[in-house]
Amino acid sequence: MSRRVPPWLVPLACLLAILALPFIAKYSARRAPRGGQASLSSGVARETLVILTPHNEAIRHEFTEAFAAFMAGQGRQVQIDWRSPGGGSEINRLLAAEYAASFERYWTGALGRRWSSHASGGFAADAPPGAPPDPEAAEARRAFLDSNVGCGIDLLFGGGSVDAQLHASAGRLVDAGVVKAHPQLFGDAGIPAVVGGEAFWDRGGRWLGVCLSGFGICVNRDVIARLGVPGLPSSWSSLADPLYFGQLGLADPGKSGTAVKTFEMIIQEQMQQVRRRAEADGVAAARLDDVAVHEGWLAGLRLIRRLAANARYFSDAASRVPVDVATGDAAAGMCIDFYGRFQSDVTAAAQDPEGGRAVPRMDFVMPKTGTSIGADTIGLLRGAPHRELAVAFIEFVLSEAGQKIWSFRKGAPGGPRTYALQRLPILPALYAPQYDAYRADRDTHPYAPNHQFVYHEAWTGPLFRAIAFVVRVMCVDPAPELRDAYQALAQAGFPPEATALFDDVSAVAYETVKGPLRAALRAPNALDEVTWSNRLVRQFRDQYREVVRLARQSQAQATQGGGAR
Amino acid sequence: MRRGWLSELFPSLFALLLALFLFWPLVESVRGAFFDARDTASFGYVLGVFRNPVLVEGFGNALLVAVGSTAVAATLGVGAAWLCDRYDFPARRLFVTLVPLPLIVPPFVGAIGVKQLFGQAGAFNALLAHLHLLDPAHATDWLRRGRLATVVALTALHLYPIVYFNVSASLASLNVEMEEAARSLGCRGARTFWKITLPLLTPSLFGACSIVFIGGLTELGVPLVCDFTRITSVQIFSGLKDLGRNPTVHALVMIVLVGTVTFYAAARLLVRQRNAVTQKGARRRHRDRLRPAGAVAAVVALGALVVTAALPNISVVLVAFARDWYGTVLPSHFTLDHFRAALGHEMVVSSIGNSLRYVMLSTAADLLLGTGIAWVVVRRRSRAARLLDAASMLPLAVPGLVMAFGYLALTREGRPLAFLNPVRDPTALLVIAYTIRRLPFIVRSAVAGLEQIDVALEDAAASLGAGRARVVLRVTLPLLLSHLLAGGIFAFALSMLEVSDSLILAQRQATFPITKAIYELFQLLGDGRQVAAALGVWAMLFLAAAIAFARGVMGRRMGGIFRL
Repeated sequence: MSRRVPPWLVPLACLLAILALPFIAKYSARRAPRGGQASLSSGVARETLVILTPHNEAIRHEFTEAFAAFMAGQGRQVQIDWRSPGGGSEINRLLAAEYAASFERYWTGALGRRWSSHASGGFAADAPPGAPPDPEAAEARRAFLDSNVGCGIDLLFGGGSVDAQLHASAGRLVDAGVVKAHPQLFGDAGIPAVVGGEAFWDRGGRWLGVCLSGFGICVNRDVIARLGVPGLPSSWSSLADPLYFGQLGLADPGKSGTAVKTFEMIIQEQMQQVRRRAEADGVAAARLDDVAVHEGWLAGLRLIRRLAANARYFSDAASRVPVDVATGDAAAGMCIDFYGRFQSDVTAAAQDPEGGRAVPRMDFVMPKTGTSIGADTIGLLRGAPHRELAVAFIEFVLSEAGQKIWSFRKGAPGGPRTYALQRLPILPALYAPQYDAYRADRDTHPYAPNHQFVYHEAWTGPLFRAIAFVVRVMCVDPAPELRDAYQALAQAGFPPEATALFDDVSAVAYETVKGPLRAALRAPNALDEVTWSNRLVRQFRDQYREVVRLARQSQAQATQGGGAR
Repeated sequence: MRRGWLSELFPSLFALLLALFLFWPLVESVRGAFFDARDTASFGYVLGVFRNPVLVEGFGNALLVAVGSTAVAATLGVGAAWLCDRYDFPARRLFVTLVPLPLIVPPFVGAIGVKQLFGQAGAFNALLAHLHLLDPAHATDWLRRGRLATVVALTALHLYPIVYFNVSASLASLNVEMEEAARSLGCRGARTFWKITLPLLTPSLFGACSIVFIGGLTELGVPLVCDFTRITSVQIFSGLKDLGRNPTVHALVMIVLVGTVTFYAAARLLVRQRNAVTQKGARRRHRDRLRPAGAVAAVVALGALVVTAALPNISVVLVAFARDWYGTVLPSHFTLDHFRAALGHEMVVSSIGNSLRYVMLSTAADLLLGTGIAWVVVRRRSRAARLLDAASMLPLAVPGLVMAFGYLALTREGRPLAFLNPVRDPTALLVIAYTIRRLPFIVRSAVAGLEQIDVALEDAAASLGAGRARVVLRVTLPLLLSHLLAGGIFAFALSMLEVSDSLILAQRQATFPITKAIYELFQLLGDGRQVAAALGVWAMLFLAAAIAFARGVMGRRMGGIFRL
């Protein structure tokens, strides 16, 4: 007599088999030779370093292995307790909230004071210029800066200089003493403090750049051929061509300091072009800068508006644009260099596994001007529980051994063992010819002299936040209307009246942005910012709708005229 | 006397739990909507939202997506459930098995899957070009064509299984006598369905539609895939991720929450007046065998629905096996490397164990809390019960990031819930977070079930001498079981795939749940998305097998939804 199989038996067997798969895969991965030793961090460790980071698993893994091995050489057993709550914005919120809570405990506990809105609003920021004096806020600020209040974390590892400066200004990052201890690494003989307007390390030593990256253009050859674009784009302005309509991936300046910096560079490039033209036209030398700044600002915003009009989206994730370009979902886009290069290599390898036959469909181009190379940072957090070990880690990351982990190919001597990180080293010594064979990216040299472009801090430096705000209210928020306007213009053959209205950026002229708008953005009361935002979004949206109306009217007139003839 | 004390205690206990783990973190997180940096109270931010034309338009679009996707999902879900419950036709069992697939699409890589199919160089365009229906030089941008309609369609296809399961649970245990009575009086076909069956399904349909409506109102993944940014959910998400201050984002969250509760309460009032029929626990009917023409029509219709809705799953599987997939219908080269890299990764094994621990505990807690709340809502019918009902729907409308930061704020050193600090061990906090976020699924399923149980059955048992506990265990729970299982499966699967809390609260690799492991793999340069897709495929297989196992264990004793 046959017995029926219970109906749950087969699913249970499948469930167990599925659960067993990762264990089998892990076992076989361990048995396979990895070209390196097993994780040193998994052994019995006596010391722990706590690091908060937005870096991915590849970077965490390589630095865990390398630092543990380095410390083992000094007879110390070290493990790293990585904390990764997400990307830059999550980390900023987390740190701000952690320090607010810690300081509240210190203020009400050790200092025996009452927690008030003055203390909570004042401890993490210097009073804005011109603000009425607030003694309690000033006292809280002093108490915080003199304290060793911490959040149980030693280091903030990762994020651009803008984020790092934000934490340094708030008082959450403190001087690790590395600049004083290793003067040969910094300044003229080593890492310059500022390159092309980008700070590479804080003169107060509160944060230090550890590797470099910048935005370039990634492009899909198939898609641009389909669109009829002649040749690869070489500058940001070439992406303003209406042929790219709806096919560009741009980075959201609200989400990335490096993206804001790139938009700032686009504006600076226009300012310099205006200055050269004015000089050629015989404008008086005393007025040259003034003309450059005012006219160039407007020209820069017009160019940004045209780029934005071609955009499919403004991405908040660094990895999105290169992936979309590689898969043909976008023609080109703004993309961080190491993402662009890595994605190009991986796409070429996947496209042509045997190698050497097909033309790679994806390319990465670094625009000659109008881009900025920025530093990825590290900083010691106030109240770090393992300060000495944290300083040792900073020194390691900046040492030649650490810099090789960032920049060398996988398996190169001193390079990463499991993942190629493909980052540009910040230490100039790593660009010496003897390392050319080992660096993953041999062609880029951020310290090579650039005669075409000189950054003028005074022109746009103080407007960093304002630029992000202007791009948002002018391009990101009214994006559908902006796209409609550009499409209508292109279809109507860019009629003069509509085109002039499209190019009108006087609502955010240089004087307006540097004056009242910047003041509203710095005001403690954020309602001023809300009012500006609402007014400008409405104004630009109406402007783009009017452009559509004018363009269509002109097109209709042209059609009627043609019909009449 | 004792009964009265207990029946007062439970509602208070549930209210306390919601206050502690839902309202408190929420208030902690969104108080910025009403206070500026100097703690001065102000309605300026809320008013500012209404003065911004782009944000107001975002509300309008969110409402359109919610209404549209609810209508489409309800039509698809009820149609499919009715067909599968009432008729027998070839491949019916297979279709029933495949219906849950849209609910188990893994996060992050699901979007890649959709774009791989419908992107400009995607499989669908390649197919059309292959069939000479499309000029490759003019590729169609499907996801951006008719944006709003695309968002509605994709949202509905993603959420229709919720309607299907809830309605199936009701249909399976519906008393056929009323339909037979109608038929004997000459009422047939669609008229019987419209006049008799549909009104009897109202509690289940309302429960499912309210979840789909709020889900549609706050859906984030689909608009992001379509780059549809003028919708409230995306505006909130973008505001929360802003590097600088974004003063209106918390006001926006508050407005969405108040709007959701108002909509829900109004709908509940409207539906409550119409629903007074209880009929559960009686004889059920047998399935009619369809004639060949009808069977073919049913197979084609259901096949089209199930396959279309499962396209993201299919695509994720292909992405995971693809070495390269570009401009072709299927990948041009296949490889197992991505599976090796994903499953052999150090953090994956521990993340599986972690997820199982968090999710099993949270689903158990959801079943207890959700059934308790449902019992209060259905059997007490007081104003407080109605409040509890509306409050239990709130987690659907709260953005994940807002809740996660609220939890973090409450569990810092020195705060009252510091003992739950997730940095040391996030188990307790993640279990609480998952429980609260998935509570609406259990509450709605259990409320629908309880509303269909005739209290006379419980009274009869009590009059025959059964104690209260015995009545619950022998009468109420068995009748409720199919609904609880339906809700429990949603809670289990959706907790396994929960994103925001998992990313923010689990900060150390040893405590990562599986969604965070997928995120970490996704972040790897180069082939990260394929490696993440491979782990996503593993998660889908696991969930599918777990659902099949639950069906195998419970199937024969169940009234319904999983009976094949």
